[in-house]
Amino acid sequence: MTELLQTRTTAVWAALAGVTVLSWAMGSGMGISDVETAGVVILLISLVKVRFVLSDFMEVRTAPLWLGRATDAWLAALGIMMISRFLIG
Amino acid sequence: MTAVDVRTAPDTAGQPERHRRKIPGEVGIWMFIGGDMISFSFLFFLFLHYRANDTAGFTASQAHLDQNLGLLNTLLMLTSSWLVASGVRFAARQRGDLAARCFLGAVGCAAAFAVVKAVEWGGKVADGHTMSSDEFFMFYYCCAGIHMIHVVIGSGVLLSMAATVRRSKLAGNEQRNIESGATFWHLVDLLWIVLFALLYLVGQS
Repeated sequence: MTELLQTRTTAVWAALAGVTVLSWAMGSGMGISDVETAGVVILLISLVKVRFVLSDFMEVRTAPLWLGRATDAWLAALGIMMISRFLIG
Repeated sequence: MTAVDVRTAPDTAGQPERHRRKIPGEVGIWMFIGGDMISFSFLFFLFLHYRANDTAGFTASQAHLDQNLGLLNTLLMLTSSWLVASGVRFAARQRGDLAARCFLGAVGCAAAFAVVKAVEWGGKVADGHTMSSDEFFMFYYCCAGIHMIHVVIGSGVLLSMAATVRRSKLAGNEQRNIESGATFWHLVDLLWIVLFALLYLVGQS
């Protein structure tokens, strides 16, 4: 059990779970009252979570640099596209 | 795979490990994953585009979703991904027994995810919210449905991975196959993270 728990992967999982609960609370009317601000924060949090899944779970962190650059470029494009479309109604 | 760099990556507390930079799994799985990411990005854009044209309608329909079930499923997905990542590490150390347990635990999470989704969909249909109800529910069933197909395929891959690591010590190509399967499963987790934000949370506050 110690082998499973005392790893960076486990720390990342715990952090992701905590941030997920934070996002859920913001989407449930707790925290930020402005819908647009809360929406942007929720989207940004989801993108940060995705980056951690890519870097730690999918091991992009230890992969050739081009793979990290490619996934970061996709993530940046996705973020710009989603947030701009969300805000510009 | 050609090593292009060497660095220290502390995978386990107090046990730094030398790693050569290499692609996890086969290059082919990353090409597939890239295509899937771009396809889903298009779906995410379409959802937000249609939402922008009918914000009030989307917000009203979205309010019928149970955010608690969405949260539960997200935690199940994250936990399954953590177990798979841990299983890959155990497999690389030839700890097949622990790796198999991790992969089977991830399949358990996937099964629980499917049960929660079935309960959720059943409730929505019983309440009269079907795919033809409005644009929000069309996206909801389409996106979650396509994702569920990924969950089913991924669960089969995980079961196969569990059988492989249990059976024998892994050869180089078997380890790569395990990494490829794991990478696919993390994609399933990654896509759900964005779907949870878009379908359940954004616009509700």
